[in-house]
Amino acid sequence: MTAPPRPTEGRATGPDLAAVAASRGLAPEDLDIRLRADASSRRIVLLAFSVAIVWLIVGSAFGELASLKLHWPELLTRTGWLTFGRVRTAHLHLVNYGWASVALIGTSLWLLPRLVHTELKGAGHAAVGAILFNIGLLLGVVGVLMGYSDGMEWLEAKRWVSAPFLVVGGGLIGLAMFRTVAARRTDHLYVSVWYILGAFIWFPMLYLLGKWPGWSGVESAAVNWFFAHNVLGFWLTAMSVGAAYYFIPKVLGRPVHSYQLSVLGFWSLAMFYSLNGMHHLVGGPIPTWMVTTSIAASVLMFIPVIATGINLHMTVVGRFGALRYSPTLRFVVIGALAYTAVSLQGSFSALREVSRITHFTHWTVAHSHVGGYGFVTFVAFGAIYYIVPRLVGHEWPSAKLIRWHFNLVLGGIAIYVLALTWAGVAQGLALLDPQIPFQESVKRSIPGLYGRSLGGLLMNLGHLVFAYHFFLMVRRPAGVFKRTRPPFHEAQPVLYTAEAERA
Amino acid sequence: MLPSSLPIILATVALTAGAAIMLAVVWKLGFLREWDAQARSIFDERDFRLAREWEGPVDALERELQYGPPVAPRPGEWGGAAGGVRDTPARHAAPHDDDPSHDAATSRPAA
Amino acid sequence: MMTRVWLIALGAFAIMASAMALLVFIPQAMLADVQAAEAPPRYTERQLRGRELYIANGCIYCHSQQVRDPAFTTDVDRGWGTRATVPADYVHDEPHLLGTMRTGPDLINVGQRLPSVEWHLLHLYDPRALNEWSTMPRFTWLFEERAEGQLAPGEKPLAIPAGRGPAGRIVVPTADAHALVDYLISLNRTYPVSDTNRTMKTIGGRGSHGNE
Repeated sequence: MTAPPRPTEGRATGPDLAAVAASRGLAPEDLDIRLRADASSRRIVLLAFSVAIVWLIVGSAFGELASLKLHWPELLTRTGWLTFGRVRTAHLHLVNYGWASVALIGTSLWLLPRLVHTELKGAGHAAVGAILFNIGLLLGVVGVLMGYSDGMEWLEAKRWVSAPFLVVGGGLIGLAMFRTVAARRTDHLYVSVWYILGAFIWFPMLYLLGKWPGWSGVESAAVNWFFAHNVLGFWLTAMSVGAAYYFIPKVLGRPVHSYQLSVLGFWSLAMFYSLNGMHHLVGGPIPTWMVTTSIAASVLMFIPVIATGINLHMTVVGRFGALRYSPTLRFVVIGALAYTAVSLQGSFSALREVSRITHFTHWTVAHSHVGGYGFVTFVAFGAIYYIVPRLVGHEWPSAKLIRWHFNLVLGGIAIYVLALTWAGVAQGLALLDPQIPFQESVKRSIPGLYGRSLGGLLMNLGHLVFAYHFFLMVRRPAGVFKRTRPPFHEAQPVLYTAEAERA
Repeated sequence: MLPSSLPIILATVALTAGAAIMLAVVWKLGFLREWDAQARSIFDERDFRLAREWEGPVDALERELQYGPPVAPRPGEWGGAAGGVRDTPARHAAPHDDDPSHDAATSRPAA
Repeated sequence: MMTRVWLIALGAFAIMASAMALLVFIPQAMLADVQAAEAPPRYTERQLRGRELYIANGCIYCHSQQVRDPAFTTDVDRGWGTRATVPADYVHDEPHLLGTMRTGPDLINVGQRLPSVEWHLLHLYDPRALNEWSTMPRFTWLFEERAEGQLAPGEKPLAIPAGRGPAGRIVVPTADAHALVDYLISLNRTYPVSDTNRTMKTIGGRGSHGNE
């Protein structure tokens, strides 16, 4: 006796497409587009998320190792491969260019077709691009561990080794984005599209500038911090804010509080963020007017940050209960709060009076993790939780694993930031007083550094939980990576439950 | 607090003027008039009609009056697992089909 | 409807390009006049090799190389230099190594402050032999452990305090260790610079000392 037909067999095709569409409140053509959009991006997005999560695990482990070494300096000192100076750099590259960039690229590749109501164009070459990009990253990181570095922070990966892969790979991905937008079937360009397009215009410009050979002296410092700061605002932040502007209203079922504010936020972010970079050199040997411009621009950042903050928070206000029901919202809303916090903290830190205390201390590292982790990483987590069910045709297997993940990483980053900020202030105050010997600045920061390692440990555990859950998720159904896929609308049927049909 | 050097002042004026010109151009071209439509462009009717557990009866009624009868969300609609907040068993009727042989070859629609 | 996308793309490009012009290209043109005559001497081959090792091992992630204005903060009072460092001090640095962390002390004048080769060699091999509070890593792979007496002509074993070296063996710095120390000792920017160079920091304006 053959097994009874799956409840949805024969349902979602042919004449019943219209009925199914109607039950979802859509016209058949609409159904087509959304499912087609999702189907066209399925493989590359899953590929991107899988790779990103691998980088997250490896990158976080390097981060934990680096953290331990700062209060346990005798740990693993026999070989150059594992010296702090190389491990720290490997961590930075793996989590920023590996985890965050690749996860957000995957998110953007999923978002864009949906936003412009067409299939992803060039998914094939985008996949090639993604592979090349990751090869370039891997070569760069292995090179750094071997001692090959171009010397500028955030730009260490050897130019003539990594750049060909990163440029060609990134270019192929960007090409797919632009081709998709060119083929759009909608008059409206939602603000998330602006952010994604912007990111793919800005990152190449920044990378070319940063890796251009021959910068020296204090000009190279200006280039260095122009790049490193702007890669945060115009690459990671841009894609993250774009994602937040989609997921928050989408889950809540209400449009953003004020669309005008989002437009203001976009353009003022572009104008002011781009001039911020020199605040990394306050007091340094560069022309003072450059630093002053950056401080002014850093303070002016209040405008886009308040605009975006008001928008996202006011959209959620009164509906915080939703965070209990939606992991996506939980992560993205907290991410958006972290964005506001880290930006306000940044404006504050740029002021000379504050910089005197916090510059050169652990405060800056804590600050960067509020942004890179509390904001960017959390938004990426939320995006992955939302997107993957739509690619594999079923929900996540375990609410418990989601809860563990959330609690571990939230607890982890909270401890991390509090401990390290405290360490940085203690360190900075000691450094400021010439009567206090240097060693005091080291000794007083140690307790906070232990706290940071504890926070980091929780974060690492959270990532392992997340990775395991992702693995369980994509293993099922077995057919998801098979070449002989059924037509797109037959992949969806598991979600058409008897209840949904009756609704 | 204001910088005194000439390049800064000139650059600031140039940037602000440039931005103002762009804003005027964009406004003239009519791109700044369809805020509401753009803000709603990510939604379809189903998104508005989905029943959201966190909404109180007033909000739910408002939603129904404005958009029509509620639609049940799929499992995982909000990015979560079947059990939702509590790890209760999945609410939906159809079991997961883990048998790969039911894929591809056998999933063809009935004639 | 291409206009909308083009507008956004063009606007985004223009904003980034003008920021680059303002913060990279204009300063570069202005700094071209930096008084090369007051620049430090060029690095020797060996010092450049040492600098490469400084970069390769990520020293920059704990050590800065800049002295800030004494009117702004206490770098000079702390003994890290006799004056603020200026653009001319870095003309031979490709790329800069200004740094952003002071987990360890600033190093731009370490050659003046700690001119002993032996001190630096021991410090690289075992930082806590010299400063028990230090959290600096050990750079053991820049040194070779050998049996007693196994020395090439001209080589000297490292003088290690009792109980801290490998039992019954000697430790010999490699050429790389010597190069790195050579570079560190070359770091000295305590010679005076003219006012022109000092005010390079405020091109086009009156001298400002961090009170803006």
